[in-house]
Amino acid sequence: MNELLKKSLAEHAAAFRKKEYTSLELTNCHLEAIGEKDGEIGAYLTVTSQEALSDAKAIDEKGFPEGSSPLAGIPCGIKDNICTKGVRTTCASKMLGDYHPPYDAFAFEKLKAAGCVMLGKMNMDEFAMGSSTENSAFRVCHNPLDLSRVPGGSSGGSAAAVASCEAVYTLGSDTGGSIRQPASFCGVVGMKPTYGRVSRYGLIAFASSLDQIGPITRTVLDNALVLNAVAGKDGKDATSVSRPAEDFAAEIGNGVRGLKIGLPDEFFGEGISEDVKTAVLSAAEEFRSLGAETVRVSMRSLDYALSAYYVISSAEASSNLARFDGVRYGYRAEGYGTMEELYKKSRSEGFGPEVKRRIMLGTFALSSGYYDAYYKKAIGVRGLVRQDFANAFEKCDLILSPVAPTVAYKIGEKSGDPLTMYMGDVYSVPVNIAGLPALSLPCGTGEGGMPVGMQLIGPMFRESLLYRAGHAFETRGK
Amino acid sequence: MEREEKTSAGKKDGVLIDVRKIARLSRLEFSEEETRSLEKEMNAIVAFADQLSSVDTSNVDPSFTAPPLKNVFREDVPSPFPDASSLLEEAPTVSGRFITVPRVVGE
Repeated sequence: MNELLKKSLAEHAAAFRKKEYTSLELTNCHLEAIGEKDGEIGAYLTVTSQEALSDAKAIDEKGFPEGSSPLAGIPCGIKDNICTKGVRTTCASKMLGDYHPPYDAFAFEKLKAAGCVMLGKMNMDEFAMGSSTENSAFRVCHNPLDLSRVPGGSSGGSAAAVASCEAVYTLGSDTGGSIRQPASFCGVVGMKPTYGRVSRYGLIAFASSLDQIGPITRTVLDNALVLNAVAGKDGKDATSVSRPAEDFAAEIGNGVRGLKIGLPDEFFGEGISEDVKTAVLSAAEEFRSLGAETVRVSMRSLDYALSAYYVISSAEASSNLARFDGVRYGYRAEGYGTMEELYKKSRSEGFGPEVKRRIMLGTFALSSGYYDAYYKKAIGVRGLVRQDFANAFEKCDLILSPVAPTVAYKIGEKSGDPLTMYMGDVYSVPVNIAGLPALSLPCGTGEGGMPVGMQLIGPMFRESLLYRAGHAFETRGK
Repeated sequence: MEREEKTSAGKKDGVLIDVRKIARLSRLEFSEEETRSLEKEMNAIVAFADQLSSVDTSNVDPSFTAPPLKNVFREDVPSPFPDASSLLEEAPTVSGRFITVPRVVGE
């Protein structure tokens, strides 16, 4: 592999400014790498070579003056549920197989303003529903570290491309773990920011109270730099929060001495595989040797968080996906007679099985006679989960846990039974339920030499603290 | 009409989820085989979700049930969408400035 491809965003930014190489050269390297490798890996659904090359040339011409973003000229990939004007955006679904958004997502507009070079759109589970990218309607994505295994999901393409150096960074989205789990499976760094930190305008909605866009990178510092670029209040997303301007990298370098790290009992109990448990507990030991203190915490509601998540997310998905009716955009079936048939045929032919399953579950949970027992109850449990986290943060500054119960499994291994697949989200969904920020980063290896990720969960709006702790771990001994 | 509250679908008189009814509500259609397999899958998932009924949520602090956000308002100032014709380009069938669909009302 061209050595240039392994460098970090921060290294490229410095190199551009010292005129060691150009954005055009770097972009060309990446396009070559995609050409060589992506046939096997399947990280990209659309590659925008012409646009990438012309963007890179334009950035090189503009130069890198004082005050220009570190993201200027850096080649990246964007998950295919994030709207990119004029560039095919499919959500890995036949329903949007030929959809070209007439507008840019807010987060992507911000990246463009920073001078990004988009290489293409990343493969994912259809409509972000899945944990393995096996639900993509177009192609399977393979874990670059072992092609017979899944990259995780739903941001599988985004994580795989960063791991295989087919992009310097990517944007993913996370509703129940979809940035953090593939980051863990592929051995890279992923952040799900606090709910409201990054605008959801232009993120094709799955579950509106849970979705967040976040960066996937190879280093913690890179991740903070990308978050700096995409975070911020957006008038078009009523749930985006207004916060004072913040440099998420500002606490990097402060180490972890004196920090209290909570280890929730319920996250290390039944269901976790030994290799993951060992790797995450060793990370806890490393943090102690770096001067942090670890404390046990208990969060009883975590036992119910997964059920609450599937009820809430399916309910919101059934509502959000009602807009796909074959009328104004997206797939329209043929051979319909009535309006009713147009809707049913378009939706049944356009959506894949997992999407239809979740719509059905959501409709059920919201339907007359069942609303109180399922949806309303799940909202109550959501309150308990939030309360548990709030109580835990009185005893610790941040929480350490596994991201997923296992390392990346073989393609096809879990796709037979939906419930088995859903169980894999047990450690990641509580974070979305509570709206908290969480960082996934590699902490060891497990079965088959596959990476194990650990999750650092922080109080609301404390992404900087997570980057601080993550960086301290990442650079230990250096 | 009194609405009958069910405590948990799978357990009530052993009645399974009415997949056909839910499909109608969802504007989806399934083959007989798909319907049978959905019945199995959905009943398993809902049975798993039934554990929620054993959680006491009566004392949940209401301030925790929603994200700690205040409602925000902005002035309702319209701004023109710069490229209205691009919206029509995504429609499957168009006639002039209109999207065409089957007759909706009357015969």
